[in-house]
Amino acid sequence: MAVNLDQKLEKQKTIDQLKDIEQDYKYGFHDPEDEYAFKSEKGLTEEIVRKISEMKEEPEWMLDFRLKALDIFQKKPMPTWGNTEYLNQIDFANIHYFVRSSEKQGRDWDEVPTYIRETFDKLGISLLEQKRMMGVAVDAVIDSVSVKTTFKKQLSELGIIFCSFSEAVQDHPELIKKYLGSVVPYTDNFFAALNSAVFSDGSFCYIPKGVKCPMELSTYFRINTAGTGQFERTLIVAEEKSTVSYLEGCTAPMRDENQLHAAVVEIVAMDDAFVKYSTVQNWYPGNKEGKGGVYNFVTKRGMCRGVNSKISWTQVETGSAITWKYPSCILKGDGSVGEFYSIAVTNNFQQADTGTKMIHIGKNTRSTIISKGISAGKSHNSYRGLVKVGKKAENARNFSQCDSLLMGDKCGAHTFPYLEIENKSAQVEHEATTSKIGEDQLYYCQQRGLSEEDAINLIVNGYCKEVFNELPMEFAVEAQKLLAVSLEGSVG
Amino acid sequence: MAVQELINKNVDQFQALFDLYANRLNGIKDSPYFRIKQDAVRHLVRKGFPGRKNEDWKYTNLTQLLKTRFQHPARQVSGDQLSQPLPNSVRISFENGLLVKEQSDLDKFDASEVEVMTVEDALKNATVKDKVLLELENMEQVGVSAFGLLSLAFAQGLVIQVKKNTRLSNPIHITYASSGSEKNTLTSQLCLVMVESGSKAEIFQSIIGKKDQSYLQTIYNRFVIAENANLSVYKWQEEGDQGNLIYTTEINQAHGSTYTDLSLDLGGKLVRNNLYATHLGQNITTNLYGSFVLSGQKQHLDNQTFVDHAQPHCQSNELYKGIIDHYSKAVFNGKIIVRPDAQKINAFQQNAGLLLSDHASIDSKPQLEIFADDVRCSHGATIGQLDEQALYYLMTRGLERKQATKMLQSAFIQEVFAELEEDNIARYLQDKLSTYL
Repeated sequence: MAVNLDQKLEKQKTIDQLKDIEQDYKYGFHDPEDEYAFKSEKGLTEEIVRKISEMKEEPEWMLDFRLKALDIFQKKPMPTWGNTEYLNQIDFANIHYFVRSSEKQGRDWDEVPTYIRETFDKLGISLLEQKRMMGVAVDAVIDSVSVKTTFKKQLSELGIIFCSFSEAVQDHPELIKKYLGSVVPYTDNFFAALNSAVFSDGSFCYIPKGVKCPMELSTYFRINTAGTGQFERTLIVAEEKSTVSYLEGCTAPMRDENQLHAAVVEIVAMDDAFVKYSTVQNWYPGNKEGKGGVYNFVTKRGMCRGVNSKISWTQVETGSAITWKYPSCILKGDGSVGEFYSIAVTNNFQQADTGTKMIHIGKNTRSTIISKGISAGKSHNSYRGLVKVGKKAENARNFSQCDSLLMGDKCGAHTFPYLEIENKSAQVEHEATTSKIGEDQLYYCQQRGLSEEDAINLIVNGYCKEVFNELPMEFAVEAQKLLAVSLEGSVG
Repeated sequence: MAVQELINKNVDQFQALFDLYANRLNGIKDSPYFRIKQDAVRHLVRKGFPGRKNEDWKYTNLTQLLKTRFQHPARQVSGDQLSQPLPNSVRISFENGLLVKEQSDLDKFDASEVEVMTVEDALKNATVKDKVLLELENMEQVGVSAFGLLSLAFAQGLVIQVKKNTRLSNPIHITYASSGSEKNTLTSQLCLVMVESGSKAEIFQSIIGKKDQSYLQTIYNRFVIAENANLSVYKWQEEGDQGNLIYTTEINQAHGSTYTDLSLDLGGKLVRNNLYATHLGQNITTNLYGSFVLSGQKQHLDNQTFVDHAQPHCQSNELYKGIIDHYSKAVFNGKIIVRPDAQKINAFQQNAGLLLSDHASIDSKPQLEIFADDVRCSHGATIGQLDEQALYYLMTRGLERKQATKMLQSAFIQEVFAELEEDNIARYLQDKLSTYL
């Protein structure tokens, strides 16, 4: 398709804008949209779901799964917790549910269309190349369609499957059939049902028995097209005695209207398996007046199915206008371990409502929750979590700590922990604090010659250290920078 | 859904009960109190009871209770002494919702210090009439809960007014008792306490239920504490094993005032304590302390606290500790809100539970909602069992396991009593506690 002059100008304008707002949100560009091979009509109907399934040449059972989910989605009411006044603005009929950026997943880097490669460059994914140097395998997903997976060959020599979800449906239907929806069924909640009906792609990862994945696996998500929703799905299966560390990053262009992101992540860990899942979420948070931004409603859940299995969630949440996200662990296997480390930063008009659920079912299960919230501007930051110890979960142990830091007198920090304990041998501790940065700490740093801004950065970094320590190296550096940018100018 | 409909249908019974009740009220039908009662019942029937979808009632299921067809208790009162009196206190006794003059020391109150009277009498008293009427109307309009409305509709009601700059030397001991052998009785109490500026008062409430019969008792307290005044309220309850108690306290505090609440819950089938504290001025202190032992076969206790920090420079402290045995269940839901611009707030909250049986359970939901930045707020929750090492230590010193357990449990609960200033009251509560461990 020929690119006419207007569009070129448009593109140039975007890039110029980008330069201006670099400091605010450096991922705020978007690619020309008419280069998309397919864009579904707005709205969600059975026809659209059938169309998605047909275009992806999916088998019958996959279509069935989608249609059942659609049915549930249409019956379920919109959830009502949190701040719902914004939610009612989401017009589910006004969203493109499926956009495909190019005909096929590029098999080779050279095959990837130029403008997508440009996208990566702008993102700093030479990221892709950088990570290749660092030995990270990347699956990049734009508008929920997987465009590039690297390092596939090396991984497959070990028997590791790491590919886009669509490929997995074609090549490994037995695995998908077995595990899809086994942790997050499509009946689970409103947004999980929506995702199950319309998810277009995502990543699938399978680590066979006894294999320790030699490199970090990584997915990179980006919403590009205006008025689309991103609905991707990630499924990770770790067989007995296997180990994998998985990274996820996300960005979106700056848009005036709100975009919807409703993803589902499922993790299954068998006996003695260990899965570490790290996220740096940096969707567009909206501008300073609270206009635009991504609505980020994600269902993430891990099932420790095997004995002594372990799932660890680490997240750094700096983006999105509204985030609802509760990465959870079902500790079913005896001796299994669940961990949740989170930093959520909100500024301007952002709202983050995040936390975890630790469901203790097996004996001798342990869980740790460390949640650090930082609110600035007029934002609101909530921790909402559940620790449940079932009747048969002997000797369950939980420690939770939720701290909130307030910067400025217009923001809010909220804590909603739920503890439900049904076994006398359980030992559960929960503590939460809310305060601002101590004047004495600031004074001390400034007295040693630091500027106020640097002093705050130092203190905030120290406050978040427990969580940063859990992040893989390259992410930790990025996360610290993100934190500094997100909070820039919020103290005065 | 069907259950909720049934309950809401059952709400109509209170209109019928009220009509019965109204027939017995002679002479007050022209009084404004009667009008307020009528409004309260109408309001209740329209509003209905909270269901489990209501977040504040998530862990307490009212279905069974609200299916009951209630009746009024017999009018006669036994006139017996209903509870062991607190030493050096002035008594006020209610039985089946009615004031028992013979068991009350109404004549011992010095009218220049404190006025104690029924709501009806208060509305005839020129000095307090307007204030009482205003508070009653507020209750009806704001009507925190359906159960508060029940109290307003059916209670005889007590008014206590502590005069300006008065320090009451003796605590006021109020006893609420249910007696008789009828089933499914409904008893309601209403207690309005107004402490004028610069005064200090202590109130001790005993709640005693009848054994083996099911009943519902609703108690609605409204405490209005003026500038620099100090009110402490202690409560212990020993409801029967079939007894249901819904205990609601609304506290309105003005500038510089202090309120302290301490409860010891021992009995009851379903007990719910609601405490709502609202701060209307600065430099206010609110202390909420609770302790409980659920040693019955299947008890349910729900402690619900809400401190609304609407003004700067205030503080609140909360400490709740309890022991849960057999098939019993304890719920704690502590909510603290710091409103925008309410700076310099210190709010602390702590709750701890000890589970003794495999079937006992505890649901805890401490909750902080903070809209101001210069605050120090924290909450902690722990759930566990007695420390085996501590037990072992005591046993090496020659104590039997049973004794050692009792000693540790008692120490666990008594951390709450350590907050008491009044020795008499601490001793009284310790006596009560020891029979349940």
